[in-house]
Amino acid sequence: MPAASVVYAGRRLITNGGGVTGMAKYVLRRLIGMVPTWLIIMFMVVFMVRLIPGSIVDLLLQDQGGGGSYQAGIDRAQVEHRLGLDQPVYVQYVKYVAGVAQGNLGASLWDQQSVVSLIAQRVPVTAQVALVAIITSVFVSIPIGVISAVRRDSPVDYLLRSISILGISVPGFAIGTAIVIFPTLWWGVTVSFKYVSFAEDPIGHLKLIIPPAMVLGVQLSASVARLTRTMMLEVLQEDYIRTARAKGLQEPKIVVKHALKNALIPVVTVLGIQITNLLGGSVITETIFALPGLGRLMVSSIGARDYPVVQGIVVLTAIFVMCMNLAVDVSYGYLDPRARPA
Amino acid sequence: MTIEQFGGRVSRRSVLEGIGVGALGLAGAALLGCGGTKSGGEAGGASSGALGANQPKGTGLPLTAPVVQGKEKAGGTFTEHTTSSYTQHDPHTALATNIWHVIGDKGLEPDPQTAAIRPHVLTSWEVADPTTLVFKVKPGIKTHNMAPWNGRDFTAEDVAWNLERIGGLYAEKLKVPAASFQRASMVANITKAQAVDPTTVKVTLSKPNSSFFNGLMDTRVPFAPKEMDDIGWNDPLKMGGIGPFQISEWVKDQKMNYKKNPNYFRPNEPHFDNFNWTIIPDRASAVAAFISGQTNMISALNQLEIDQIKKTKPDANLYSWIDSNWHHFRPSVEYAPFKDIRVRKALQLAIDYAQIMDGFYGSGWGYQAALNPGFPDAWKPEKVKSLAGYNPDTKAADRAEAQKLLTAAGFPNGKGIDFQIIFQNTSGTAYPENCQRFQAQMQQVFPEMKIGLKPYADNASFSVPQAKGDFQMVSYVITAAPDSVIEMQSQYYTGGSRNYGHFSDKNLDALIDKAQVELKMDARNALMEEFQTKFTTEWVPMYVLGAQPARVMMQGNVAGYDTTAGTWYGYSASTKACRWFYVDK
Amino acid sequence: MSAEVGIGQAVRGGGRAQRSVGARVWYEASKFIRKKPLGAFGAVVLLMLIGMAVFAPIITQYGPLQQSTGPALAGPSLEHLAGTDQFGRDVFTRIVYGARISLFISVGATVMAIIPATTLGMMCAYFRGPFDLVFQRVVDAFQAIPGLILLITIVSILGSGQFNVVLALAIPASITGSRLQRAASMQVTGRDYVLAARSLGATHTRIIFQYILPNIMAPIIIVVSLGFGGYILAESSLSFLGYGVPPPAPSWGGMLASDGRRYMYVAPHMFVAPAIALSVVVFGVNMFGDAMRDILDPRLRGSG
Repeated sequence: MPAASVVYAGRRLITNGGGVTGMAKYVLRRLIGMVPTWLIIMFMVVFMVRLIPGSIVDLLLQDQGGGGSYQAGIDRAQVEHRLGLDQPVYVQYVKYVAGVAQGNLGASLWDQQSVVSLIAQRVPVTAQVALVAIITSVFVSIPIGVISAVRRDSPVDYLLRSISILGISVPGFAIGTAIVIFPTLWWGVTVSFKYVSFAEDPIGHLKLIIPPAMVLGVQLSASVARLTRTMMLEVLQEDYIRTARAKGLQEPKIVVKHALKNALIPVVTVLGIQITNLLGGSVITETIFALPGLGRLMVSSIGARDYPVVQGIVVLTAIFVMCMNLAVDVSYGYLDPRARPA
Repeated sequence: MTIEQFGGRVSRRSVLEGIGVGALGLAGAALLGCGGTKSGGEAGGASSGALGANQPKGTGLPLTAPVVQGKEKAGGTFTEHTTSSYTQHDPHTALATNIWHVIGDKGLEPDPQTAAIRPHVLTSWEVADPTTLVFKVKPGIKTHNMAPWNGRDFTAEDVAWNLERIGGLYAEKLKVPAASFQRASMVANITKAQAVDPTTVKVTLSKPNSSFFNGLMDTRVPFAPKEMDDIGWNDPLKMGGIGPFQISEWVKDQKMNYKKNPNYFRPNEPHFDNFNWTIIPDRASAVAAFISGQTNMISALNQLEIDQIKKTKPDANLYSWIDSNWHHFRPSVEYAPFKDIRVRKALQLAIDYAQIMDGFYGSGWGYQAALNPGFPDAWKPEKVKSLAGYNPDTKAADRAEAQKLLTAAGFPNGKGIDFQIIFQNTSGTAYPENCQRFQAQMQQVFPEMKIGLKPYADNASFSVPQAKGDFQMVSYVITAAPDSVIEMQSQYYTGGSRNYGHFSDKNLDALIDKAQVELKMDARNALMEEFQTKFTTEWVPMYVLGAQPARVMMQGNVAGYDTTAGTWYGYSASTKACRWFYVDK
Repeated sequence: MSAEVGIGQAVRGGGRAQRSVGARVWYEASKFIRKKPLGAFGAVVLLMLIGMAVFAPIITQYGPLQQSTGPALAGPSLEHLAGTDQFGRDVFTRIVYGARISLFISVGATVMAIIPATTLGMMCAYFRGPFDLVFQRVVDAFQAIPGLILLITIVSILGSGQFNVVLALAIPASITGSRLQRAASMQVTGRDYVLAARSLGATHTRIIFQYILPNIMAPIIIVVSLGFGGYILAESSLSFLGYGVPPPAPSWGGMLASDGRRYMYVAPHMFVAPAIALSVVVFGVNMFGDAMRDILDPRLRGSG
């Protein structure tokens, strides 16, 4: 996805203090608004995966192509019927939505493992990597962004900006490949590829999580640092900052206490948006570092045309992202009194 | 292969020989050229057999199989890697490698180099009359000690069930399309299999089938206990077989671990306590894992990876041979110019096979015409290399001849020929490179010919046009079936299961029909000789680039691989992990 | 406010307006270089990219698809500045011609994204009502689906090919990008001159394109310059997964992700050369975008 962070939050927040009932009404309105979005998402994913050429039936019968079985209506129809793929797409969509509403996300077309259990197996790894990436990048990039803004257009600013832009100029897989390959070439050692869960071996597990988190963190840091700098610059122009300065407050205090708090608000919003990008980035890190995470499952399921799994992942991720965004916007309201919802 | 065993009953001597060889547990003891016993054999330890530079090109390597010396250290965990965990667990309908290669066992085994039949679960195999086969089952084979079998005996009833199932006879009962039983051609013409007594199976055929015994050697037809249809094929943890290892842990894409089967029917095997798989989807990472010692074995190596590994891990051993996988460009006769034998022949003469195969593999590959050189009745690479079109010394003359043929067919310099090659664009595979080299070559020889490349990003989208025949030319690699007649039938017979290019010739079909029911070996070989000749002169249904090299490296402290190295050791180089062991190093 | 957007501040003041165009350009350029050196570096990179793309046949001595120009997998030398690849193709030549592909992808995706994004954004801001309500839900949907998955799916559906990759990159960006344009447009729709135009009977189309559009140019330029580099990176990620620009085209992403990684052990130049090209261009483009944003964003003007 383009590296452009969304500089403006773009959300429709009306500045008007509404109090607690106002907030509750806002949350309710947003939750209700999520339902059509969610239906649209499910429609998109059910439809789109079925548009991809080649289905599981084609895969299952591919070695019988020349013999005509491939074309033979009977065989194909039998397999399609067994897998529920012979009905029109909108029927499949309706059935799927009904199933999801009851909490049933279906089963893998290949080995009938329940989609929910499959995803539950994979989420922890991806979530842990993402969490470590976010935490490290926040600790690194926010100070960088602040310093950059405060010392705008100075050599320090140029240096810090260069470093952080470098982070989003080098493709993630290149960084990941370098981490894996170069130690092997130089010293004959590399990261471990044998997966152990946290319960089995906490230290070993953490050692698996850190390299991919670093790769993702570098890219995330770059975006967040840039955005922090921009927001800080904006905020530092504001009248109330000038007033504080005129009143004689110390600069560091101004920066941290007044400016930073307000500048961070859109940053938090953007972090919410970046979560979906993290899932995309995790596809690459999970492939290189051999982690059994959600990203890899998504890509391999698309390759295997395992519709229920792909649908399940998209649906659950979407719910998560929307709830996260709602939480962020609600906290936006609490943090910035000017931005309470109507 | 089937030289002694056809045309009558098997002699007592060969039956005993069969049992004897099996009982020693060192089936590789009589391997040519390598000496595979633990105590004797060639001085080994370091990898022998230089790769490439001094080998005559395209004749393939002689088998390189260093014998590792040392005192055996029993037990231990052997780790191998794979790119993803298996998605299908029913061996008779699965498209690819599955857990039954480890937890199951086959009826008959091939000698890895000569493809001679050796007994395994079945100790003897004979033709009672042209449509009746009789097999003897080794007594005392036990299933894995897990519910619901709890180590029960594996008998002729199980074998009969497997044979019928492989042949697709249960398709209707199981409500699965017959076409799903991918390996039914291995036991073609089977109508019934029954257990006459606990150690004897009688198979009835609708027509004679000279490929039946070879077919049973295919890696993809292992035997399973007969309750498996009731248990279902979805959960690997519920699967028990008769193989050297049994399932210990299974989590999709996380763990595929097996543990030793203490009641395995081959004495003193397996040697390892555990056989674990690490899942590494990325090739560069997999090589790094081997170099850092996290895995004990790595296969499908290319020359560059070998060089790199040798630099950082000089004590690793390299095993190499010609593989049963062969690279090709398949033309479709639905595209009008390719209907003309002159056009097909012209391209065959013009291709520089060595440039393509050397370019991707360096050395170690072998020239191939109709049949993979691993087949005993196939032309060897040296012979193919001497033929027109393949012969590097006559390339200029061949290309001139090709020009003449094309002009005679109405396409001077290739003008008027405009086609696309479809292929799977997976990184690390040969297809993109083969296609680009082929395209550049043809553009140089026939400047007015137009060739485009159409890549498909994944297997599923690629398999659609290939299986439908919806292409002008396709670039692919195919694994040979273990029998030459089965192979030729599937590839070139009208309506053959892999005949994606829809090639059809009455004479070819008639030849195959004859060979399939010809139980006398000499006569059958003569028919296949005729087939191979006509393949390169009259039919030219396929452009075979060559048989690829198979290269495997093992960590320096693993011994026993030399007894299992060779063209016919299976689809997946790890199916004989029971014969390997650690040594003190 | 918006009439003052732009570098043309020098137009104010008597004496200066008399300068020739050339001198004015030179003056602005040197001011730009002094005030925003990183941005100037980025501008240079961008110019070099365009130069490479346009003058490729002149700069290079081989063709980008020409095999056997030298020994395969050879390292950098005088005849082959960046060495050769496994087919004996000159890597430097492929890098130079790769600039065309990078430009095609980034410009193509940007243009194909920005036009629908802006149009939809303006329409939503102007018409509001049910259209806006429904479309915002669609935008929410696109934002909630992981981007890479959307890309892979679209490329799988359309088939591989340079143009399809551009299309795949543009589609999600156009939908999600409309939100920004909508926010910017909303600030303008309430203005007096828009209301005045309405009351005078101007058609909707006229109002949208003549009044709203010119006043949101600043956010458009900002989005364009910030997003430019991201498309090139996205293509390289797609190449890694097998969905990028297909061979034998010399796309930097493809050279890096497939050939480069495969031959990295023996021919590191095949990995390093495209990596440097890609990183430098994305870096430069991002820096340039930053500088544009600093200059054009009215909220960032002021001290410094």
